[in-house]
Amino acid sequence: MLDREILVVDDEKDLRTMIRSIFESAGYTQITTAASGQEALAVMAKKIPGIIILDVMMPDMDGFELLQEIRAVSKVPVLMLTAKGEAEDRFAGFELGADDYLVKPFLPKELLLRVQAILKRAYPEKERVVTLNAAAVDLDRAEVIRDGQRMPLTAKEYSIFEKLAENAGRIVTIGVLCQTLCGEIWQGYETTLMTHIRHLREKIEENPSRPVSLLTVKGLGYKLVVKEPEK
Amino acid sequence: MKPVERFFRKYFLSMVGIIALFLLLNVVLLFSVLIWAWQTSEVPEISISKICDSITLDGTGHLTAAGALDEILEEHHAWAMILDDTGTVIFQSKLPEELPRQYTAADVAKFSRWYLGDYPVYVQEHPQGLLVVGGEKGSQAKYYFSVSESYARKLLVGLAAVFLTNIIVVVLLIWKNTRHVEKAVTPILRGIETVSSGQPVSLPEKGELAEINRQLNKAGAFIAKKDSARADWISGVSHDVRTPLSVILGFAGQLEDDQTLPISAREQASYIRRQGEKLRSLISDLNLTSRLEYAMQPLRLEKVYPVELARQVVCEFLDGGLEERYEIEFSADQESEPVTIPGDEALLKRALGNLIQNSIVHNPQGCRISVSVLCGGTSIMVEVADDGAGVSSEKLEELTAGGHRLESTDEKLNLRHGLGVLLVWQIMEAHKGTVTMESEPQKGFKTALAFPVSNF
Repeated sequence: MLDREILVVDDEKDLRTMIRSIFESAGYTQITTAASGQEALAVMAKKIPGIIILDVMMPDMDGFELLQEIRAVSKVPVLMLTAKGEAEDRFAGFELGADDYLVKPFLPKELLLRVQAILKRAYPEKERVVTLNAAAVDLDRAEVIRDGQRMPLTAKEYSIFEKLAENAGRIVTIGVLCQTLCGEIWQGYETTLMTHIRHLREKIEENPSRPVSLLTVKGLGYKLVVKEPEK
Repeated sequence: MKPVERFFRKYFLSMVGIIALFLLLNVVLLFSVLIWAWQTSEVPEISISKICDSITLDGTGHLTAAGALDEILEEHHAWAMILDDTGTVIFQSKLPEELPRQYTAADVAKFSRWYLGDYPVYVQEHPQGLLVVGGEKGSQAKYYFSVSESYARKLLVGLAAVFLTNIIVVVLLIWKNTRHVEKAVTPILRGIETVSSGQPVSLPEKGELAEINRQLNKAGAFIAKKDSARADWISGVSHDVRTPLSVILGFAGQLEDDQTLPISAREQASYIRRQGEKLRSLISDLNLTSRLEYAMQPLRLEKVYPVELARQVVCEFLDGGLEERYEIEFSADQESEPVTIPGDEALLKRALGNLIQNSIVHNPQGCRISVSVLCGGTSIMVEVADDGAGVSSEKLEELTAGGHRLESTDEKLNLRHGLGVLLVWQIMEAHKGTVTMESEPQKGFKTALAFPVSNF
């Protein structure tokens, strides 16, 4: 992932330098910058980058126009940066096909995390395996791998687990989980959800009554604790 | 609209009062004139009975007058006579020469009612006949009239009716006039009220008071223009600050994480980063608050589940690396779970987040924060309570009273404490909800946001 090419388009030189610096210190090696829409198109003509970080407000061609031109030739992921926080702007960006949207002034960590998330989505790794304390889950095959044995997950268990894994380390609220299950937030699905969680725990936890991977956060939701893959 | 109605009712009553006062004044004046005339006129009141008593029969069967008679008559320039049954004068004193000494019954009847040869006369029965006393010529006005009983009654009723009709007509005219003025003035007063509340005003520019309406419309438009200019200005400034601040935050963050730098330098970078982050939230709050204040932020209303919304806000805090000194617990009652309200999710999250953030910021020693959602019949309530330092009653008043508005005089805009609370008030106002705050020193701070639930 770190060798994906990142193209930063912004008319402000200091901001380009800063963004480059953020990604370089995070270990990214292929960072190109462009000061205008024309320059960005010229870069793209040579090689399509892995992701484009695009400022909305630029003198010659604004970010939305550039985004339209980019979309005409490529589906490359685009993260828009804007100095305007207004909802209209955000919707306009998404309608034109932006993948994400960040309002200035942003925190460096936030930019990093969002870019990482976009890259993960856009370029999925070949094997999507989530490693847990007592088991691992192969998301592509919807199977739990435990003690060398493979156990299938039901469709509902899979959708719940996928949601939790996407947000690993963070709490996923009951409402969000019910929505992934049934499309609606509240129709008395909470007990159904609890049943699925119990079944999931039986498959992935060493001791289902004392979970260490799939945790309950009282009143709020559930959280999946994932083991960092060994490097 | 109460003050306007009150004003016109008062105006109408005062007009009626003026008319009543006017009538009363006339009655008083009339009586004063009567009393004045009576008191200041010469009083030629001749005591007829005295005269009558002073004329007596003497021993010889002749009528003689006591000494008092001449005195009385002299005083009043009067004369007296007594007629016997045949109409002959049997006694007289100072009787003018031109008057006859013999009268017929018809003469008696005539002069007793009117005059006797231009002399005003008074008659009274005397043991010997009829006493006639005459006054000075022209000293008395004598009228005599008689009317039929029914005529007099009708006249009285008629007069009363005329009087009443007059009063009714006057009152009606006053009322009509008042209504007319009210009709013309009420829209203007309403317009002034609208302008003073900061809403746009548009009055029809026609009729007698068109000029005033035009001026008022102009004033409203002027205020609106100023407001939007101010909001635009704030938005412009915050926009221009965003890019430089991004650069500052970005580099400060990197310096802070740079392991090759000495600890002291990294700490300094951390200060820059933290203050930059404060500036960042201030700028976005300022922009939103000015847009809300001047109604330039359209609400994106959608179906919102308050319980789920509160959950997500709490989770953001928990996931965002809350320091260990702080504890957040969440609870919701069963009835609240399925309740939905129309709301702008992003704004509501902001309001709730601001309240939790406030509890954190104002209790640096740490505290336990509880967020609860309760359903109370016609409303659903989201409460944020902490067990921290709380505030004094003065400060609480300051937070809850009028100070939540972005006043045109900027002295009330206390930026030291951020715009968090102000935003909460504005967001709740936009959602037709209410905010209640409770606190005592050392007993924590509690804020309740209540939303009306229509489909309950």
